[in-house]
Order: sequence, then C-alpha cells, then structure tokens
Amino acid sequence: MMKKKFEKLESIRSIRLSDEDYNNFKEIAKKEGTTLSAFLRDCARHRNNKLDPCLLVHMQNVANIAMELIQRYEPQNAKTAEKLESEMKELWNKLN
Amino acid sequence: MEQIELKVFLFGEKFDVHDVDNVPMVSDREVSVGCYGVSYHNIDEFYHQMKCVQQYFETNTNQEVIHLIVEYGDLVKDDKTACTCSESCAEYFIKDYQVYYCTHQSMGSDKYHTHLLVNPVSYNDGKVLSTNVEACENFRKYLQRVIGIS
Repeated sequence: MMKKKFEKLESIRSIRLSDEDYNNFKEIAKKEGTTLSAFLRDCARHRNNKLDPCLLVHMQNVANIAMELIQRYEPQNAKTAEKLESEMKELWNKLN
Repeated sequence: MEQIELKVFLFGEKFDVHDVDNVPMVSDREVSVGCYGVSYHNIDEFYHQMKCVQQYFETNTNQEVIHLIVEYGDLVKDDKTACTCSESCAEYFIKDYQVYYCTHQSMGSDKYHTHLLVNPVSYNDGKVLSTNVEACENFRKYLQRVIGIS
C-alpha cells in the first residue's frame, strides 16, 4: 500500500475498535510493511471492490494459458479466445 | 569472465508503448514473447493493465514502465537457450511485478537480447520497484548466477 505522493493527511480522527481487532490490524499492517493508518485507509477505499490486482494478475495468467491453448489446438475457435480477452478487459476496468 | 550487458530505460509520461519493438532496432528477429500478469495478445491492453495496478494503489511514480534490455553477448548461441534465459530474466520480477518480455536476435548478427517491460508498481502491495545502481547490480548478479556463468 502506497501513500499518494502529494496526499495531505491533515485530519486526525479516533475510531473505536476492540483490542483484538486493533492488534490484528496492526499485525497485518506490520507484515505488509505499512502503518495501521495506511492499512485502514486502503481497506476503506477498496471496500466495495472484490477485485484486487493480485487476483487479476493470476486470472490474466490463466486466461493467457487458455488463449494459447485455443490458438495452438483449436484455431478455428478464435472467437472464444476473443471473448475471453474481452471478459478479462472488463474485469481490469472494474478494478478502479 | 563473460559479462551480461544490462541496459535500463525509464519511461515517464511520454512513454509510447508502440515504440517498444523499435528499441533498439526494428529489424531484429523476434525469437519469443512472454508475459506475466498482462495480456500479450494486445500491446495496448498490457499497458492498460499496468496502469490499472498503478491507479489502484494511487501510486504516483516517475516511471510508467521500466524497460530493461539484457544483452547476452557470446553466452547465448541458439533460440532455445535465448528463450530459457528470457524466462529466467522475467522470473526475477514476477513475484511482485507484471512483466512483458520478448527476445530478439539482432539483425545481421548472431547475438541475442531480451527486452523486459516491467510495471514499477507491485501488484501485491503497490511498492515501487527500485532502479538505482544497487538494484540493477543485484539483477545483473542474479542473471550471472542463473544463466550459469562462473
């Protein structure tokens, strides 16, 4: 998780959470090499997005393999490969 | 001791993805193409996919794409070895970064080289790939190790 280069973090607010959550979140943030604040901001920003770049990267790799197999063994089904590519494009567009 | 030549190009806002194959020579023979985490069927698409990751992490980097060229000199003599070496090059980055790579044989020569286009923003956590001298030297040492130079 990266901070926007020119992002101003001027507002300081307190939030209420259990000790358990606090410790868990802090531990995750530490493992990810970020701060608790940055971790919570990132979770909030992407709360409605079930996709993340890591998932899409793996999906794209699977799609690439499928498209390669179609090209190699079933070139007559080129439209299936095009459809697959188009579906992946839609997913990438939904990321942001 | 044989040395691998490593060239690094950093592209900013004016990066034109269609110029990739024109670097360094348009007439080079393409030996292989590969990718990780991006589409290689559509060059515009792979660039867009790298931008999507950068936007997701709201990372403002100076480089949109990092372009590395690995020149093998006399170390690589055939297509198959060149292809294997290009995969080894890409392996260095794929745990964290999207990579598009292609291997060429220079026109009028038996020398091979690999272009690597790397998204400087990690798809795992948004961390930016370092391109300082130390990072390049680490990559070069990795190549020397995996390609099997004594």
